[in-house]
Amino acid sequence: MTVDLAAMSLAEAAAGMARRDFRAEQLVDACLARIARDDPAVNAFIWSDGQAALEAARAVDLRRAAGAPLSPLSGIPLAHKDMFANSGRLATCGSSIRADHRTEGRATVLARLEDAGAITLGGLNMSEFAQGPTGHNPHFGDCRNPWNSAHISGGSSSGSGAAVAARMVFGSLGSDTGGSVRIPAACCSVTGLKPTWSRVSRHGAMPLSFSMDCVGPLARSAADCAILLQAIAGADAADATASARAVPDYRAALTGDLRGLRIGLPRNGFARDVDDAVQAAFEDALAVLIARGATLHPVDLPAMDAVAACSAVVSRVELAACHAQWMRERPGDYAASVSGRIWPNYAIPGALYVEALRRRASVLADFAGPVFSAVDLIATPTIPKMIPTRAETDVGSGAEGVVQRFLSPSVNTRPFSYLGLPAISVPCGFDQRGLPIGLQLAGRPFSEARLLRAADALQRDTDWHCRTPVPGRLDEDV
Amino acid sequence: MTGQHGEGKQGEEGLDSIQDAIGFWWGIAPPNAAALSFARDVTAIPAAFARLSPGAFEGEPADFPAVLERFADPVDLP
Repeated sequence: MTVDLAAMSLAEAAAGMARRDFRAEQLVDACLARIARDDPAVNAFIWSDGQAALEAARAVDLRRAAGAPLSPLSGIPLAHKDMFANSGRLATCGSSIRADHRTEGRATVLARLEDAGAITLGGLNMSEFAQGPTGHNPHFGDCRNPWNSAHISGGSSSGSGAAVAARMVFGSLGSDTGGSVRIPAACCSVTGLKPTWSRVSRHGAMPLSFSMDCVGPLARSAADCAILLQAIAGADAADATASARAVPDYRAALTGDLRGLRIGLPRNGFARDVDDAVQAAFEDALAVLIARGATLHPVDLPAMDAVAACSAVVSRVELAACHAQWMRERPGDYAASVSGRIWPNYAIPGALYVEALRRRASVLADFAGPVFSAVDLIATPTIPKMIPTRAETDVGSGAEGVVQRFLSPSVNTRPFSYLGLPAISVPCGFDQRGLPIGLQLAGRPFSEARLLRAADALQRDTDWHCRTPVPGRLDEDV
Repeated sequence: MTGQHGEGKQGEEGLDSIQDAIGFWWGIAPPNAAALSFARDVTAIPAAFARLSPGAFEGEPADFPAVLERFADPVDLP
């Protein structure tokens, strides 16, 4: 019987490497076979370099044979959202404007993963310039949901969610400014963590909103995310905004014990209109957490009007500033959903932008003080509605109401971005159409270990994260 | 709040103001019809800010990382 190495989790693959059950080259071969078989249906990759990956894997195998110590990432095949500088390789940002762009130097996060022995297989599809929560991309083709090709993969880290779900790679880095790690994680049934703002260096990552951008992992489980976050978190001399705060041992935090954990259910500030299937899966997930020792507490969230008003300004203005030259010189090179979304932001006054930034510290204090004295975590559905189709959310169609449908997946993820708080999306079920549902947990600043512990506890008693899609299925196949 | 900085700026009047301001400051025309749809969200921003209580005179953006630290989880969980 042949074992499909690509079906393992990252943690299982790391353990197998440590036991010398297989070679890194075999892991890469297994992932390349998955990519060859399934990516034509999913379109998760913008580019891949199998030859370079195999050479890097052989180098890991030689080091292991020579007795070199292994890290948990030695020989593990990964691929990342195509927006990180990586030693002269492509970094398209999902755009035609940067379709041939190659950046010298390496993003700190990629350097840390690769120096730990991880193998980079390629660059993953994404919403153009990380703009958009759906995964549409007219330049490289939409990334399609591996559970059903007619539906969105979520964005903007669309390829990250889809490639991990389809077992093409063991993990991936995405970026999250308003939900771009958590939304594809929920849509594809993988685990995705947006760290606290400043927890992970952004040196070498494409900017969208300097004040809110976060780099975070997507993987098959919380335990896998813990391994990836351990490698990338911490101070960075190349990024003055990266926090010097000590990095916890994330894997050691995964005890399965939630006794004493207080989970808040927001009375305000998040979507009230939740689809029945999503609400049922959400409540089932909470019941699992309660069985592990957690308690539930309804909670009023202060300052949410300020969060909504200010977050709408900060990311929009910073996005517009980044794109001013191209919006003047080549607006036709953007997708309609991207240039159309950037354009109105140039009307927002500078004084309002400064006001939104000036308020950020006091708004966080007004929020965190009362909320985190009452509860440890906040729970919501990651996306309150069932996952829409790509056609329903295609801004280019010009259909009535399409802009609101396009923006709606991020309604529950955006608030935590302005607050700079960490949040994780964990698979918690499937709807009647077989499409995934995600649970979002958020916590106080630098509470990634607590979030991972809760997510891991859920995954010890459920198997939603273990289910594997059959890429290429369409609605008519259901 | 109503009047020139409130809900009165929403709707078609707001869209015209946005288009004029961008033309004056940036010289960028709406790139497509979707731009005007996305602009409707921006017309709601002035009223949203007008409803907020006044900000602190001394406040500065650099305080934000300090507040993240102030409310941080302990490095080692029990």
